[in-house]
Amino acid sequence: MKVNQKQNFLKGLIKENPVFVYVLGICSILAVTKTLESGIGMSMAVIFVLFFSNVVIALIKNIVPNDIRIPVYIIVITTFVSIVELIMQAYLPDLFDQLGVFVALIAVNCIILGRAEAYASKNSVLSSAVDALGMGLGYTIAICLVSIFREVLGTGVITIWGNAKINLMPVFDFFHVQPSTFFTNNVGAFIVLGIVIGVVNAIVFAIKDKKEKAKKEVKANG
Amino acid sequence: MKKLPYPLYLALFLGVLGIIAAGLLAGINILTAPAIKANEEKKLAEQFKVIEVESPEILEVELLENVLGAYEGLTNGKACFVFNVQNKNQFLTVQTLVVISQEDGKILNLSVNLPATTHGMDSSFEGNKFGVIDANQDDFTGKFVTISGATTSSNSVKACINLAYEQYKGIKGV
Amino acid sequence: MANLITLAFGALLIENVLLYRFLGFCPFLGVSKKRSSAVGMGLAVIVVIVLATIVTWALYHYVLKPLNIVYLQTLTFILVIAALVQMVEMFLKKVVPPLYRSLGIYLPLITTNCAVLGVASLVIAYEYDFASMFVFSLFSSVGFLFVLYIFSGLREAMEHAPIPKPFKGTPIALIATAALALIFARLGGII
Repeated sequence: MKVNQKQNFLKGLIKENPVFVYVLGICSILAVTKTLESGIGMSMAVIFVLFFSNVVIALIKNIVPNDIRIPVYIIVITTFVSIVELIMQAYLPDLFDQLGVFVALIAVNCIILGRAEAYASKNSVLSSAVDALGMGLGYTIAICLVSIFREVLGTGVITIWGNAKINLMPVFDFFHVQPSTFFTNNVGAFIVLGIVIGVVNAIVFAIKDKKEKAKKEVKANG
Repeated sequence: MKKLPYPLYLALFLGVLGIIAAGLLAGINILTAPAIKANEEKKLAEQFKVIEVESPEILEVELLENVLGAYEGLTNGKACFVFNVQNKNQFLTVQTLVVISQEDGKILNLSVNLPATTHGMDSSFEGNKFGVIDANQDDFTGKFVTISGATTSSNSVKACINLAYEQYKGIKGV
Repeated sequence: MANLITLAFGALLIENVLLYRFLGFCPFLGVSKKRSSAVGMGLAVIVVIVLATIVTWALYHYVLKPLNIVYLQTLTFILVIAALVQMVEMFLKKVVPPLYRSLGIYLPLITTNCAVLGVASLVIAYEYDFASMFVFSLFSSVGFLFVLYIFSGLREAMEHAPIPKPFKGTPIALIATAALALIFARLGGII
């Protein structure tokens, strides 16, 4: 069965977005979206783990005894998480301090175990790799959306990386409003994520309804 | 080769996988260990910069419990000791560098390293990990009586300062 | 002793695992639809978190640290948790079958519950001694049950509310959680 790799990659972005459609990985999104920098750092770590664990699991899927497949997946995934932990501690210590315990928690991130069980264990190495990249990018889009809203509304500044910041305070001054730390604390996290998912759902439903209507018209006319 | 009983095969599979994983991690650990150590030393050097101590030299003395290190150096021309002290309680571990003047035991400067989330001191440390806080020193005992904002973390900092002062007294033989 | 009481209060209400630390969310959204399943899940989580934290704490202090293999922390902790969940499953199957059946797939999913690995890792990061570790894990997990129970009651009521379609399910659950978090946040001034 030939797999269309382009479709395979794109599905992770919208149609099967792990956050908006499958509602996975919520814990990590709530915790690391205080600044865009930590959001981007977290998604890079997740993409790394997701990619390598999907590839390895697809490679060994035929020799893994079915009864112990979940413990095997867990060992593979956790090994790559520990590798990320060590690399981050060595070369990106500030990011490691910001993310804290949530780097280790990538090991129990439902997205990674979910893709291993649902996809990598049943598909080729190439497809699994592409799937990992697509899903990882979908996760990144979700995290960046939420981080941007929380950081802008919370502090008026977007931190892209280190000292590269975009100061949006002039926009605030123009409308005579002030950023509020409400959005960077935990209550704000829930609200922003809830609203973002709700709005994304609304957009997706609207597009779906339009497509349905167009289909019906074609049927009625054809 | 005789076929292995199934449970043994499963256990062996997991065992071998575990050993491969542990070996891989051990290798990466050896590769990254020097970089991690260098980062810790950089952090300490940055903290020294905040308290304006020039040319700190390690002091060879017997350290009290929870005193991580003792140094001597110059700050603004005055000879001083610097003590790297930590205080742990259920809520957080606070590490401070306390600068004590060598001649009269007055606290000259202070920098605090707080963990990422903490009660009470957030507003003064937004983004910066190290900072200097206001404090009142009791002139007679040299012990710290109050620190602005009596919260969990300020109590820890107070404990650090008092411990540093104890270490100072130990060195001076007071 | 007073410190332990403050720690307990903090872990239960103020730095609540779900509302402040954001741990344990995936099962939270799935299981909180009925009050009875919420209670069962919460109790199972308490047992797993307390047992797992004790074992991993001991593992860290008596094996990983002395042998200088701290980099194996995440891997060994997860394997301990997975093994413990298996044992709890077998125990429930034999001793309390109805509970085992009502929890269904959610019982093995406790292995991937961020709260379990999260609490175990936090206890090491905060460098707690045995008593503090026990109090922290017990009251954090009770805090999980507490919020889960309140929330399932809320959700049962929300079933009948006229919510616009895009917001049904996860979005409205998150916004309702925000309201809960706001209430709990007000308690922050007490300690």
